[in-house]
Amino acid sequence: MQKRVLSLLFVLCLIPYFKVLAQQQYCIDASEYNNWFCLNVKGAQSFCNANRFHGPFPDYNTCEWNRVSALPGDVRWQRMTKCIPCRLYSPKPDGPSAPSTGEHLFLEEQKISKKIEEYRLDLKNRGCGDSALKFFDNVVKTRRDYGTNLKDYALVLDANYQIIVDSCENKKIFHRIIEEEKRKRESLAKNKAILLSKIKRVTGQMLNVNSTYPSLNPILINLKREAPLVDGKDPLILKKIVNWHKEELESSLIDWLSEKTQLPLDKLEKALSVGSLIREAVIEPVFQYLEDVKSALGNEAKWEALALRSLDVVSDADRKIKSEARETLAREFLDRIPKVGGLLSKFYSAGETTLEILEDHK
Amino acid sequence: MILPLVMMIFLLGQVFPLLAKDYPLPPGTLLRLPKNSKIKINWLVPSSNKEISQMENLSFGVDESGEPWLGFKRKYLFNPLRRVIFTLDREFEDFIFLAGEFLLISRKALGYLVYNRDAPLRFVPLIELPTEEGKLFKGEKDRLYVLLSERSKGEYEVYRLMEKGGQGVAEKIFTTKEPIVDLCESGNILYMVSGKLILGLDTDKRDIFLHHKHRDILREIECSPDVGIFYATERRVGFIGKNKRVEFMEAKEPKILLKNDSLFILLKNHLGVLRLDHVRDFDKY
Repeated sequence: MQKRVLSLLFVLCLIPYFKVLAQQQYCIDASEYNNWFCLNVKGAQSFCNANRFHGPFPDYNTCEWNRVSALPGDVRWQRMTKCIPCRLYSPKPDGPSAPSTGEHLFLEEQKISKKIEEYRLDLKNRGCGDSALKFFDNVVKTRRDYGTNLKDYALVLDANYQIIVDSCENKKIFHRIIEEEKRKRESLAKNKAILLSKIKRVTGQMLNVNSTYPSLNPILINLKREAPLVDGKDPLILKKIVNWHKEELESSLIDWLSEKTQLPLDKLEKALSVGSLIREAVIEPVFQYLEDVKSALGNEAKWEALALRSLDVVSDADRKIKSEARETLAREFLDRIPKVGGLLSKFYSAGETTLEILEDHK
Repeated sequence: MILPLVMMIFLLGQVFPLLAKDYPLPPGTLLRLPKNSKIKINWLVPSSNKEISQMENLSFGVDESGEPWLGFKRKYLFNPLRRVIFTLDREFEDFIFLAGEFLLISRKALGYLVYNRDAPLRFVPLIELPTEEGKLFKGEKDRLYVLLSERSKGEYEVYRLMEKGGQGVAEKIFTTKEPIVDLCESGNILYMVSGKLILGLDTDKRDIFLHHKHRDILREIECSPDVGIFYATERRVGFIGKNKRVEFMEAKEPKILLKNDSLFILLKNHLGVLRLDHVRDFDKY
């Protein structure tokens, strides 16, 4: 009995040691990894002071699982880190309730890795194409540029993720619109005669999408040689069009002159038309008279009549000019018409002619 | 080259039509509408207050659903309402939306567009043109008018493409040495803008007449037998009806398009698109 009691006491004494053995915790040793960055990567000096150990973890397997999945894409992390018993690092590694800087970094890394996977999955679910996923992976790869500044890295990830999502959504919208347009076009093509398509079919031309023109329908090239429905180059039509342009030009000039001289439009129009009026009143009757004289040569009776008429022709013209002139013109008006050149001079000369003749017939 | 395009997208990025009273006209633009008329103003694309430069080679079209399209830099087709930009695989001279197709003139050819997944839209040439310069116009009953010009030779030709008895038929309508810049069809009359004149060509009588003489050079014309004639000069937009004539808008280089009873006005230098509804009322008040 005494022997049994002693055995039990011995076992009870050993329990604390068993407990220690059972509670053997493991930590991730990142010392080699940190050293490599500290020595080899410019701008990654933060790694020089980074925590060597991350953890603790309740057992080796848990530690190893966390180590492998922390940075799955980082070959160096996988190769240069390992799980070791925490007591080799510190007799009292910090517990999870009070994480060290290194452990905090590690947890952040884990969070970001999880976020990356979520983002990637979300992009796939949204139907983003390979190019979008590749773009995202390239953003993920920039991790090394941020060292321990995981906050910035996370911000960059979030921002780029949002950009990619927007771009995917836009592409989907555009694609939908384009598809709708396509459907509309297809239904129109089915239900409605399309002019150009018909021309293509009628002429039996082969359509060459590479735009080699000889294979195109030459319908307008052929028509070019034919007479139009209305030919604007035909002298009669051309004269009509030219006259309309001329009338428009004259009225524009009268407007312009009226504005410059500040004369009322109606007065100015009459003033400018006096030149042609004189031609009509004097020159044309005189020429007509001369024509009559020629035809009357050798005919004495007619000659007498013409001799009497000659006086009337001159006096009629004289009277007509004077009365029109009184009604329409004042000398000061004409003086105020500006001296102009080129095309406008035609209209100015009409005024001058009028003035000269008026002077003669005062 | 892409910067003006980005600017344009930014400025035209408004989706919902707004009432004119909610969105002011850009500086230098004035609109006078007859009192008590049914004419309504809608902003399809509210314009920028700032004047946009480098807006050369800007063409304007309206599709069958009444949505505006801008041809930009001869390379892009942009629908500001849907914010869609199509890039074309080649430069184009002019475009029009007719019978459900985007028709274009490009490099001496008339053709249409084919959607190309993840690539520029492909131009499919169909009809060879005798000249480089060309413009397209929609006539009545989906007739297509093609104005071809050779400015160096001073030659202007108008062709008409139409469907007749299920077949496509092309006709040479008019040739002239006087510059023609725009045209429209109303009934059997083809109205053409030449300088300050609007010439009318009666296709039945095969005769030409002077319809209107304007004090400024005319740039654009739109017409319909039910509504009347709208024109645009460099600074104004006006209306010529059976009973009334009025200039109702002052704007810089406006571009106009008439569709049914609505007049679409592109304020080119401010990249705004207005739609005036019930425009036939211009002839009543």
